[in-house]
Amino acid sequence: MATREAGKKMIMLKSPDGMEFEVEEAVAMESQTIRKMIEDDCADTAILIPNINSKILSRVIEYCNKHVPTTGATGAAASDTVAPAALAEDLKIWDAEFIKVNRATRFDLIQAASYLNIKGLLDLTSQTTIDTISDNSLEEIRSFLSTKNDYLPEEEQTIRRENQWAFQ
Amino acid sequence: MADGSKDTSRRRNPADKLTEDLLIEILSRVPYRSLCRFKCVSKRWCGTISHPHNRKVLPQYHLQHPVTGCFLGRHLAHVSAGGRPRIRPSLPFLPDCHQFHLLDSCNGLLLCRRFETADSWEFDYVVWNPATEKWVVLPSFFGNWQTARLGFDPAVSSHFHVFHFLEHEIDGYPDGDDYESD
Repeated sequence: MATREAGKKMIMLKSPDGMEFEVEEAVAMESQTIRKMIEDDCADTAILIPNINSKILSRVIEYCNKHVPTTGATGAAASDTVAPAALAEDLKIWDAEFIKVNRATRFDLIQAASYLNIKGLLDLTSQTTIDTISDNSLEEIRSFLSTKNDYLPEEEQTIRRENQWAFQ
Repeated sequence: MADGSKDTSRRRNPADKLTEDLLIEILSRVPYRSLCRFKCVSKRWCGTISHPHNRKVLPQYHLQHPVTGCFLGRHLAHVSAGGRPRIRPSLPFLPDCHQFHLLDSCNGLLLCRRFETADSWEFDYVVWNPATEKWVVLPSFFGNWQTARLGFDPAVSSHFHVFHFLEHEIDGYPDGDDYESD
């Protein structure tokens, strides 16, 4: 249920496993999907977030809480008092810690970031995945992504030959 | 959450979450060279990377790199500022010959006529890739003075096509042959 607390509008987010999270509207609106629902007046009651369990939803909210543009008690943006470069560096360090999760959680976060349309989180999770596999061998990539090599030996030979330059 | 559903999700392959859309989202961030390497991971990846529908979001060699240089005779003059040139300007990897006539270029490949000696008008058609320093001579049936053009889209296939247009003397309408690379 949308409520008001300390002057800030609150939004209730529900995961399919029955957990409820009360978050500031500004935090929830880091998600473009939720922003659209709020702007279209579809968010008077709690918003059910399908396909994202409570564990992942709480991590997503944690991310949005950190990344929402903050305002102090006077209403001045925090960036007015702290150098933007220092803020960006702080966020970068925080992101690096945030994304230190196992493979399954990372894939869940990619899926959640995509559904909720949170560009920063999608960038972070996708780029981290690419950084993980970029220098790996094909076998390591297949193993990391649990992808089967469905090429016949001669097909694999052909595709390897065609793209040989990319392995050099 | 019911315990049963927890167990089920634990047993599932975590990578199943990576739908086609999410795979493209991830792959859209890699350099073109890595993308070509990733084609070898599996048929599914190759299909996704090569599908014309995905080309707008996946990196393209010719879009990723600005113009490298322009040809002055047989030499390449670099126009991109800073950094190490990606192509050696004197093109030392090209086969010995008297002269090259540049005919066409397409997405990083070049089509030329190669004249081996100064006292003969005989030539071969040569297709070469300045980035990989590889070149191939086309079969001799391409050896005449008609219009030839190059077609190559690395996002679709690593094969190039050379179109050879023959003009009929009587009606003036073009006819043509097509050579596809191996």
